[in-house]
Amino acid sequence: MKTILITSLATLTLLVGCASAPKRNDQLEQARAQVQTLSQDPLASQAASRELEAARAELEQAEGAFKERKPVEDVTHLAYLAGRHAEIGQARIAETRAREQVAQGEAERNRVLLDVRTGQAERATQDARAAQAEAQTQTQAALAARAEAETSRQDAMNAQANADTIAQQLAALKAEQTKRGMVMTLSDVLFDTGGATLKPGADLAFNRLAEFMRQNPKTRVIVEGHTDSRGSDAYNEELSQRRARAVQDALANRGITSDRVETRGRGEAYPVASNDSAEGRQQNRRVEIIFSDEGGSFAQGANDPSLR
Amino acid sequence: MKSSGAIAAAAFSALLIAGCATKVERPTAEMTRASTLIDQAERAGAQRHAAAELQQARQKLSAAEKAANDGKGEVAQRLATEAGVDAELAVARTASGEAQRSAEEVHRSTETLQQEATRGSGDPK
Repeated sequence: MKTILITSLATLTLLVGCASAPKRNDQLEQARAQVQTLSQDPLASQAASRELEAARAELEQAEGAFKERKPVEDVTHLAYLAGRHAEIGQARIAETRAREQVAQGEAERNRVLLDVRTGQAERATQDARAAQAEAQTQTQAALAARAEAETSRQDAMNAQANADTIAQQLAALKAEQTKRGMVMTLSDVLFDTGGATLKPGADLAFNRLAEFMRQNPKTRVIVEGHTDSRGSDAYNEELSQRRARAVQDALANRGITSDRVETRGRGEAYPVASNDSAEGRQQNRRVEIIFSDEGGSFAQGANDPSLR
Repeated sequence: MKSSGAIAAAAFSALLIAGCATKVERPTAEMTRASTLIDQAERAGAQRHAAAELQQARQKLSAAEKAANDGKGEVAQRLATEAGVDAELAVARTASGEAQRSAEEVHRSTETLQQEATRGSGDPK
């Protein structure tokens, strides 16, 4: 009796064991995963809808066979087909992606080709522009050089003309070239005898002199008074100084500022002729006007009355 | 007693007939399909892109042939069907492999073009 019970229990256990969940099938597991992966691919519906449909149907059949505990070969076979169709679907998607890449690649290549040609054209244009710009620069440089040469020539001509004018003007003033520079001599007949008042006849000479100094505004003069030997040295020096100042005043009256006119009283020390004759003495009574150059500089010997 | 024996016999016969009806002798359609797909895969260049799948298809088809010859029709049918999808996969992977090769070629030629363009611009004349 006891033996029978144990046997029954064992049988029961065996039966229960059979009733428990079916053994897992690796092929089915794999197929589930593959079908899920495919169905989640965004391109699946577009590129692999037929394969996805087939795989799903086969997977469903495999799941059914599994649940109904059909022979493991049946389940495995159906799962295999489902998995393979999922793989075929993946291959179709890969192909579709590759074809898209081909299309994009060709578009990209055309773009590069266009860039290359555009670039070549642009470089050619730039080269041409650069050459043109260079030619223009050279032309402008040549024009500038020519203009500069013209200006220099004009300057030189002007300077020459100016120099000519001054020389002519000084000649008109009866100035003479000496080692002291250009020197103009005013005879004493322009002064009252023994005095320092200028006679009206001197006006013309002073007008000319003032005009000259106005036209050559940097020019300066030294005005030197000289006398003959009659009278005391002190008197003669004082007289010669007064006469020089009279010239300075006459020029100031004509608008020539006194800073351009230096005065010296040389007295009787530097005669130009013999004091023995009346004629010689008359030549010695004089005012000499020494000119600077047109820039305002005096010659080296300007202050040395012994030079002629 | 006699009648019950007749019923049993009839039931047995029915079972036998049913068995015969599902029994497959030779899965000609599946085998032809697999064979056609294998040819197609070979022509497309599967040897290069999907050699393993092509090999599996061939092996399963020849195993199906053997099973059919041995009278194991059901086994033969499964094997032939599997050989068919294996070959189909080989075709699909070959097509995708060729497309990828084209994509790479286009990409390579574009790069070459770009390099030449860069060299061309680097060298003034």
